Amino acid sequence: MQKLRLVAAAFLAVLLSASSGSAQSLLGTISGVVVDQQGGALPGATLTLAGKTGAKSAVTDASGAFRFVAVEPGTYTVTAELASFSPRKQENVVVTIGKTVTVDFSLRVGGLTDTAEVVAEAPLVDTSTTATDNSLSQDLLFNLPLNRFVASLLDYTPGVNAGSAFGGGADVSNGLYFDGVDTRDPSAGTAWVFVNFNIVEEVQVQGLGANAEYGSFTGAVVNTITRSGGNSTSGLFDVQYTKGSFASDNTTGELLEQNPDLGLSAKTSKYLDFTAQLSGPIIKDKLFYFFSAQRLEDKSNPSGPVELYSELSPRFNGKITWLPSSNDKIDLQMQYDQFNVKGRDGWSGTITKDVVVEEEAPELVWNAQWRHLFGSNTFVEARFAGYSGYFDLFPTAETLGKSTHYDVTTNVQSEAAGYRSLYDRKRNQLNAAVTHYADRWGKHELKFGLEIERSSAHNRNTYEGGIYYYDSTEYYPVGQYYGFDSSYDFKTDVARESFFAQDSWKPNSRLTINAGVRLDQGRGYDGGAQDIGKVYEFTGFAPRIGFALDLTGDQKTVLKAHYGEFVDSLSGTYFRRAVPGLGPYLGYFFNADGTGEFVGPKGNTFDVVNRVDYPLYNVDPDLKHPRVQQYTATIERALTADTRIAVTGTYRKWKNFVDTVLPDARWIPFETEDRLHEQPITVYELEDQAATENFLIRNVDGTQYFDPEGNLLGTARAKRDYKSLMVVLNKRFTNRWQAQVSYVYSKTEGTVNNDGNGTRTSDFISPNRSLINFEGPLTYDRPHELKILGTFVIPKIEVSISPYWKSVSGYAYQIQQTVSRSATNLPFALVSSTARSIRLEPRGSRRTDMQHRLDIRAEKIFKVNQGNERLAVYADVFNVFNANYNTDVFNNVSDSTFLAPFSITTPRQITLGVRWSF
Amino acid sequence: MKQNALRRVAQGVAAGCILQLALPALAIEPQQIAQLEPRPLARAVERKLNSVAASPTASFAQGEAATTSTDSRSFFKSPKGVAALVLMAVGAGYVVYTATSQRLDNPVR
Repeated sequence: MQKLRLVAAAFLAVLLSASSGSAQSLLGTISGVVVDQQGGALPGATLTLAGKTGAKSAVTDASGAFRFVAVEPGTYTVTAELASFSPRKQENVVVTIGKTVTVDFSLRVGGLTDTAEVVAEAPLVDTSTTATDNSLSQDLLFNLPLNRFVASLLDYTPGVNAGSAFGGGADVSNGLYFDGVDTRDPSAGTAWVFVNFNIVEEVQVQGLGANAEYGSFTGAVVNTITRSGGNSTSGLFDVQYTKGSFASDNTTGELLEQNPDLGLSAKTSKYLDFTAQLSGPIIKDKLFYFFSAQRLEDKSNPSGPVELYSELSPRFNGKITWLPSSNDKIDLQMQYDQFNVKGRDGWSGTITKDVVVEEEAPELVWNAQWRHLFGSNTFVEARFAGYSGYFDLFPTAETLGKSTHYDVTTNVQSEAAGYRSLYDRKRNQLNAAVTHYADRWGKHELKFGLEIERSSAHNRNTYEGGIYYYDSTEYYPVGQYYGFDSSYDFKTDVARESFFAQDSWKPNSRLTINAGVRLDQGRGYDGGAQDIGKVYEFTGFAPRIGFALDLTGDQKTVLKAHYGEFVDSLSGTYFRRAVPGLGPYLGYFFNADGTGEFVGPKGNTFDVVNRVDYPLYNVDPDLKHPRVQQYTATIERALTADTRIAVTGTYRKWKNFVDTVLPDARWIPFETEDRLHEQPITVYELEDQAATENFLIRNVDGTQYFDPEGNLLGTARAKRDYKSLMVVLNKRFTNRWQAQVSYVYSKTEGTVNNDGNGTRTSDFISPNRSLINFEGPLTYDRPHELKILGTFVIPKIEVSISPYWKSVSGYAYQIQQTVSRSATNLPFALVSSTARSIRLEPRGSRRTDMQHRLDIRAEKIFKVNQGNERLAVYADVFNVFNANYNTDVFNNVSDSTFLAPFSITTPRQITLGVRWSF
Repeated sequence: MKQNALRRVAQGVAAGCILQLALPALAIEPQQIAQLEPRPLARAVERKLNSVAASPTASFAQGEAATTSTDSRSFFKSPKGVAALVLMAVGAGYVVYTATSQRLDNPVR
C-alpha cells in the first residue's frame, strides 16, 4: 500500500497549473517550482527545455522556482533533474503567444525517469490577465474552412464582422501585425502585405483589454506569427482547387428583375493555390532555414458586366534563424510577391466590360529580429520590419490611350477605364522592448518599449487622352461632349514615435493588476516636390489599467475589468488634402469649329470652360487625433475540465473625430421636396462660394453653422458609441470534438459612420449632412451575432467535420436624396456630391435582411509512417445553403433601381485540397 | 538566511499594507506572505492534476509537435526526402516562372 501511494504520488508529481503573463508579446513563458514529495522546495534542480531548435536549461532558486522566458510558440518537453532524485519529464508543453504555462514538478528519491504525457497548456480560465480572451484557439482556426486572407481571420472572432471590430471602422481601424510589426498601408490604413496562409504558425486577435504595447488602432489587432526552421527537417505541400462547375447560382429572377446589373451569379471559375515549403537545420542547434513558395491563381466571374477577374500571385518567403549563443536569437526573413490582376473594375457602378484596368503590384517585405536574454528574468527584443512596393492600375492593351465615357442620362460608364494610377508605398518600423520579471512586492512582469515608424505614400493619377468624357445626350447634341481633366501627384510621409511602459503585477496568487501607459507622437509631412514640410501633428496619451481577480481561488472563476484608451493610427488620408499635388480641375466643352485650345482624342478640340485650382486645406494646429475609450468587464468560469464560459460587457466611446469644415461659410435655409415622404424639407444653401477658399481639417465635434446674419443654425455632434454583451462558450478538443459558440448583442450608434473611412469622416462640410437626420445606428451596427465553430471527428472513419455557422443582423441604412448643385451652391469640383446628399429619415432607420451562413470543412488525415508525417485530403463548402442576401442596396430616391439590391452574397462553392506534411 | 527571511516577510507585509490601503475591496490573502517562502505543494499537485484533462490537442491540427533532431543530409537521401526535394524544385520553379514570365508590366513605369 505504501508503495502504491509512492507510485501515485510520483504519478501526481507533475503539476500543471494555470497562470499567465499579460497577453502581450509574441512569446510565451514556462514557469514552475520543483519540490520533493513532502512539498519542500528543491533549490539547485536543473530544468531542461527541449524544443525544435534545441535545448536550454535553468536552475531552480532558493524557493524551488524556475522560469523560461521568451519562449517561442510551439510544443516543448521540460525535464527536471536533481542528484539523488529520479528525473521527471513533462512532454507536450504547449506554449502560445503571450501565455504562461506553469509546469511544477514533485521529485521522488531514486529510480528511473518518470514521464508525464498529459498535455500542459495555457489555462482554460486565464486568471492573471485583464485582457478579454475571446479569440479563437489555434486548433479551431486551422481546421475551419477559411478564405485564407489573414486580415479576414478577424471575422471569426466574436464581435467582429466584415472587418468592423467592436464598432470600429471596417478594415481601416485594425492593426495588422506581421511577426510583431504593423504592416498596413500608410496611406489608407488598410491591409498591404498579403501573407501565404500556409506559413502562419499562429494567429492571435487582440482588442478588448489589450496592453499598452498595442497601439495605433481603434478596432482590433491581428497578430500573425510565421513559421521557422528547427532541428528536424519539415515540409508542407498543399494544393487547393476549385472551378466554376463547383459553384452554384444564387441569383433569382426576382433579384434580376430588381437589378438586372447583378447579371450572373458571382462564381469562382478557377482557384488554384499551391504551396511548397521546406525547413530544417543548416547547423544543428545553431542555424536553421525556412523556405516557402506559393502560386495563387484566382479567376472569378463577378456579378455584373465584367466577364472575368483574374489574379495571379507568386509569393516567396525565406527565413534564416540563427542562435549564436544560448541567450541570443536572430531571425532574418524576406518575402517577395507579386499581385497581377486582369479585369479589375475600373469604376464602381454600372460599367461595360471594356471598363477594366490591369494591376501590377510587386513588393518586398523584410523583418529582422534580435532577442537577447539576460538570465532568466530579463530579455530585450528588437525588430526592424518594413516593405517597399507599389500597385499600378493601367489600361488594357485594347483600351490604351482611350478615354472613358460617362453617360449621365443612363448612368453607364463605357469604352475604357481611361486612367492610369501609380501608388508607391514604403514603410519602415523599428520596435524595441525590454521585459523584466521582478519578485518584489509580489510578482511583476514589466515591459518598456518604443516604436519608430517612417513611411511614405506616393499617389499619381492621369486620364488617358487627358480627358474624361461626359456623354450626356440629355444635355448635349450627339457627338458633343463635356469633359474634364483632374490629375494628381502627391506624396505623404508619416513619422511616428511611440513609447510604452506596462506592468503585469501579481500581488498575490488571486489578483493581477495590469497597468500601462502609451505615448504616441505622429507627424504628417508633404513628401512631394514642393516639400512644404510638416502639415499634421498629434500627441496621444493612452493609459490602460485593469485587474483580474480569481474569485474562488481555484483558478476556475475570474472577474476582470479594464479601462483603456486607444489612439488611431496616422495614415495619409488624414492630411492628404493639406499637401500640394492635386489638380487643377479643367472643364472642357466641345468646340465644333475645331479651334478649341485643347486637342483631345480623334482630333476633336475643346474650349476650357471651367478651371478650378484646388486650395490647400489648412490643419488646425490644436487638433487632437481620434481615439476610443474602452471599458470592459468580464466574468469567466470553467464549467468542466475542458469547457469555459465568458460573459463580457463592453462600452466604447470614440472621441476627437477629424473632418474637413468650411469655417467661413454661411448657410441659407430653404425648402425643397422630400421625395420619399412627398413633403417639404429644410435644407441649406451655401451663401457664397468664396467660403470654399478656406477648408480646415479639425476636430469636428461642436462645429457650428451660421446663417448670413450670424444666427446659429445648429451645432454638429461627432460621436460614436458601442455597447455590447458578449457570451462565449469554449470547449477544448476532447472526446473527439471542440467548439466555440458565441452570441453578441451590440449597439453601434452615433453620427460618424464606421465604414471604410474609420475615424475619418466626410459629413461635416455641409449642415445638410451634419444637422439633418444625422444620428442613429451606423452602417456596421449588427445588433445580433451568433457564431458557432467546431470540429467533430467521426469514429471509425476518422474524418473531421468542421462547421462554421454565422447569423448576423443586416447592415443599417436610410433613404437619401441628392439636392442639386445649383440649389446647394456647393462647387462641383471642390465638394463631393455626398455633401449634397440629405438623409430623408433618421440614420440607420432600415436594415438589410439578417444573414445566415454555413461553411463546412470535411478532412481526412492519413498518418504515414512513424512520427508526424501526414497526408490530408479536405473539402470546403462555402455558403452551404446558397443564400443570396443583399449586402448593399440602392438607397437614393434618385436611383432608377431605388431599393434594389446593389450586391448579394457569393454563391455556394466547393473547394478541394490535398496536403502532405512532415 | 534568517535575515533574508525576515526581510522577505517584511517586504510581504509592506506589500500587503500597500495593497490593503490601495484596494480595500480586494482582501489580501494571508498566503501572500507565505508564498514568498518555499511552499508545500503536495495537495495542490493533487488538485491540479485532477483538474487537468488528459487529452491530446486535436491530432489533425496544423501545429507541429516538438521533434527530435534528424540529420538533414540523410533525410534528403531517403525516398521521402527525394520526393520532397523534387516537389520543392518543381513547385518553386513554377513560381519563379510565374513571377518572371507571367508578370504584368505597367508600360509607363
